[in-house]
Amino acid sequence: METPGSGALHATLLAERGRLLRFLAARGAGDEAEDVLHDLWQKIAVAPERPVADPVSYLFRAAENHMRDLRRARISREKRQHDWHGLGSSPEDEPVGERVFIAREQLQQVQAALAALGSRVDHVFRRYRLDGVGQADIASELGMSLSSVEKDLQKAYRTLAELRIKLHTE
Amino acid sequence: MTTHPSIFSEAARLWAMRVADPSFDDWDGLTRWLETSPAHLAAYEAASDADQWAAEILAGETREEKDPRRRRN
Repeated sequence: METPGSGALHATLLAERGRLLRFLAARGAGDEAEDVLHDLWQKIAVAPERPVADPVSYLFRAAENHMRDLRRARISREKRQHDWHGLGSSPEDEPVGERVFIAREQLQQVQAALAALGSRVDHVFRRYRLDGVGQADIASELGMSLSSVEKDLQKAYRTLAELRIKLHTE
Repeated sequence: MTTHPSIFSEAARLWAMRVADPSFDDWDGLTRWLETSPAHLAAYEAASDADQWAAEILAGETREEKDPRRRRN
């Protein structure tokens, strides 16, 4: 199940198999790490060919994303079953207008929470998480030390995690 | 409350934050940390959920809303 060009990636996969399996097992795959790695490779092998700068990082990142996908799929499956038994209302049951309203409300709360941390923290978080700029690049962009960037991000992350708990328990 | 704050949440949040860096490469470090306690995985997933939640919500900003400073122009 190889596409042309995935040969190098596959060689890396074989070379890093032990590390990848250990990561997947710890990351929630447990005893099924071998199966999960197999599924992950199927997914990678059929994806359109792209130049990969760092095959090792690419594979670990793909493994991380794959575990996130599995978690998301499991949560929505459980939610559907829950709703099927009439135990709760799903977002699909809510009128579209209501969902748009909730999304807008949450956006405003996130914006306000970030703004309250100051314009620099706000900017650093957006560069990092929306624009996908790494901490080292943000540090040189803004003439800040790496540890200051990390501290700003920690503030934003802590605040947003607390906000999420607050919004989801209200 | 599904996302319970635990003594691990600070460390978990730090890992989720570092993993979001495109140049993150300490996967073995993350593996070892996850292996240290069964509670670490749940804490990491909660932190990662929060990270993705915030990023997804902010991605819904319109260009106009994106930069409050720009709106004044």
